[in-house]
Amino acid sequence: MGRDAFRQALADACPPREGAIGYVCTYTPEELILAAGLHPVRLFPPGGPTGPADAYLQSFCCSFARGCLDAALRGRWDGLAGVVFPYTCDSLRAVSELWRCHLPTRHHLFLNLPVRVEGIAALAYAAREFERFRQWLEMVAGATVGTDALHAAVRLVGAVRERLAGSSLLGREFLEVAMGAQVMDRFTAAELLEGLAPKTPPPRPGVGVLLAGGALEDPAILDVFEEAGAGVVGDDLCVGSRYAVLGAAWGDSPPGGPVVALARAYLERVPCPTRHPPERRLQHLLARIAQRQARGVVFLLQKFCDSHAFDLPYLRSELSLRGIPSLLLEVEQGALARGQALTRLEAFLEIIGS
Amino acid sequence: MGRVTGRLKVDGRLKHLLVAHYRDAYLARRLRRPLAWVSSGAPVELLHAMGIFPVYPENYAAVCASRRMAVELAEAAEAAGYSPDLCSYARTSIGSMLAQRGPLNGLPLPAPDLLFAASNICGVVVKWWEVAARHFRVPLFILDVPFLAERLTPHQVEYVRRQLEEAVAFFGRHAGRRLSSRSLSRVLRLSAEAVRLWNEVQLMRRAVPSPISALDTFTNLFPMVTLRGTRACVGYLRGLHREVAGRVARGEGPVREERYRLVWDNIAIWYAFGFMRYFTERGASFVGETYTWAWGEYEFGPDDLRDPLGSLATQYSRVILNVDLGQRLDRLLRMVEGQRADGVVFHSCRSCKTYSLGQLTLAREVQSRLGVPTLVLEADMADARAWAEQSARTRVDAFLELLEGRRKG
Ligand code: SF4
Ligand code: SF4
Repeated sequence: MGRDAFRQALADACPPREGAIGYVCTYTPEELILAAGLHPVRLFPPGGPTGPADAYLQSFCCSFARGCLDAALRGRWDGLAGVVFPYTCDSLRAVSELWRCHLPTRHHLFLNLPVRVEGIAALAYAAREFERFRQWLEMVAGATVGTDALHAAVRLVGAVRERLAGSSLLGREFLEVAMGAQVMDRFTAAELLEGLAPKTPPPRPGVGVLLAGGALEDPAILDVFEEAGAGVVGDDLCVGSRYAVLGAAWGDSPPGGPVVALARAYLERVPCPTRHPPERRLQHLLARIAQRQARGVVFLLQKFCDSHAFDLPYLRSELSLRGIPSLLLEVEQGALARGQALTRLEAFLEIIGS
Repeated sequence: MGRVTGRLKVDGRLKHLLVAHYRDAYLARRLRRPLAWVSSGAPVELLHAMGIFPVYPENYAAVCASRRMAVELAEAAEAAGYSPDLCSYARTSIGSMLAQRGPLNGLPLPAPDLLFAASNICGVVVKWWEVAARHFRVPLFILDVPFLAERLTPHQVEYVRRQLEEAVAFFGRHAGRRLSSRSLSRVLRLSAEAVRLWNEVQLMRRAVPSPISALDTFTNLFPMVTLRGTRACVGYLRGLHREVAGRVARGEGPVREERYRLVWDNIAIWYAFGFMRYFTERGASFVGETYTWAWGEYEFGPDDLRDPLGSLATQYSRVILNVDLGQRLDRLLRMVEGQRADGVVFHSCRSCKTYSLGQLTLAREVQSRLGVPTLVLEADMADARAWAEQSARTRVDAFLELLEGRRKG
């Protein structure tokens, strides 16, 4: 079964193949990695308590960033040919620094993306960084990244994203497939995703909620929703559907060349809270709620995540002005405090279900 | 060797400057001066040159903390849904904004006409300023300063520079002010002079005994942060310089018998000056702080005046919180050696991730490269709720004992 392949890829963490490039955030243009003949692997830490990383990071670093360093120190990603940290937040920037200081990964790149995603200056700067990334990849691969290869990669990733975005899978199943697709070989992912489309859409489970938040370690976090009788009908998570939404398709000769076009596509994405200005995200969230007919939103917040936490009061009050209830649950070490989450979810479902 | 008790004489003037600054801020509207909220890493020279009055929410939050008001304000922000794990400066400022209260005659910081923040100190200020922009419904300019990993690339400088041009146009549009190159050169010259004086004061702390300690520099930082680029700042620093030089000449310092010379990393603990004084009582003086030192890093030479925006772009990219660990380590090692320090105290500040994450590695490196012992103290600069002074003092005692052993050994 196709789905098992995704699950397996996720469990393998670092597929034993040459030229695997690890990366930590969807702002990494994996199209360029593929165009260099290398293999993009999104790094998902396993969750659970950390060990070796605690000697380098104080308690107030979010457990996602901490988990990344921890897993690396434990050797989970020893097979990587290189690792890329795009600039996102203060915690991951620190982890990138510590990784560079304390781990022998052969090639390390801090992809210095802009915080601002609008305006000519930001685009020009981002395009130069993408270009720098391309050169770095050529050095790692020992091969040039040609325009044709880049076009092919854009089409391939476009197909993966499109199929994910159009997938009728929901809840944990969707998340497993989406996260698996970011780890496994992209050709296989594109092929398998096509085979996964069911003939008839599955019945909508439970009371429909939309999940929103940033990075998550483990799709199993969604089990508690099922237990509480909630149906996760969609998400705006950076490990889930936010990966799938990128309008990166363009014609054969985009103005400025393909690298500039790629940079533009990344800047024009629905911004995550680490980007400025952030307003488009609310519109996107509202659109997704309507499209998925969700009755409420559950925000999953990584404890100690500044970027997301700052937006929450605003997002929640905007939702509430529109009569959309929301609930906030904190995630730590890849999990929710189960008992408490269950009670709060049940109470929330009661409100939105009535 | 003499001991000077009490504060610096210039402290009286400092108080006056502070009061005048906030008074003017409250009067800005009446005086028809546009008021901007500015982050501490933003190139304030531009604002001074354009006649825009800058106030610093971070400084204001520090004032709230030293007057023991930060906690209740932070709680007001938390009640509105802001996580208690967020930076306590931000929570204090947001709480004061929402509750319309503050320590200066009960007033919150006056509402801004514009907002200006630079990402070179953290991602927090970007989010915090966004909150303020929504709250006050005023225009916001984010100066995006890319992280300086290993070296500054020309396209980074170009990016910041182009944004500075945009910022000038933005201030022109929203504050009705123009930038003349004459006034910018004048401000940059004053800024350079302030930096020069400040750095000389810092270097005088190399003397034995050190003429001033961390409490002095932390309190005297205010003009450097807020008034850099003005005559008032230069005038003040001249006074400070004179007084400190006098102490050095007379061999005076705040510590009765200087036994230990320490470097402090990170922001002060604004509500625990008694704790900072404890070091002095135990014979330890601080001969440098990476935090107060940071304001001496904006050095504008005569060459810079030819391309002021370009050099602002370069200078503001190099700030301590925007550079990689290797560069931070270099600066720290240079300070420890240059100031003849024999220990480093790292304030691991849970609010400030850019400052604190990486400190454990820095501590280890300082120890292994220079053989200088280090102490890591967990605290927060403004939120006193988790502060356990007694146990911190016990750890300081143990640390000083260790240093004592080395002195004898
Ligand atoms: S969860 Fe937040 S703090 Fe953690 S890595 Fe992501 S953006 Fe950074
Ligand atoms: S996170 Fe640190 S640098 Fe940023 S505002 Fe807070 S204390 Fe200042």
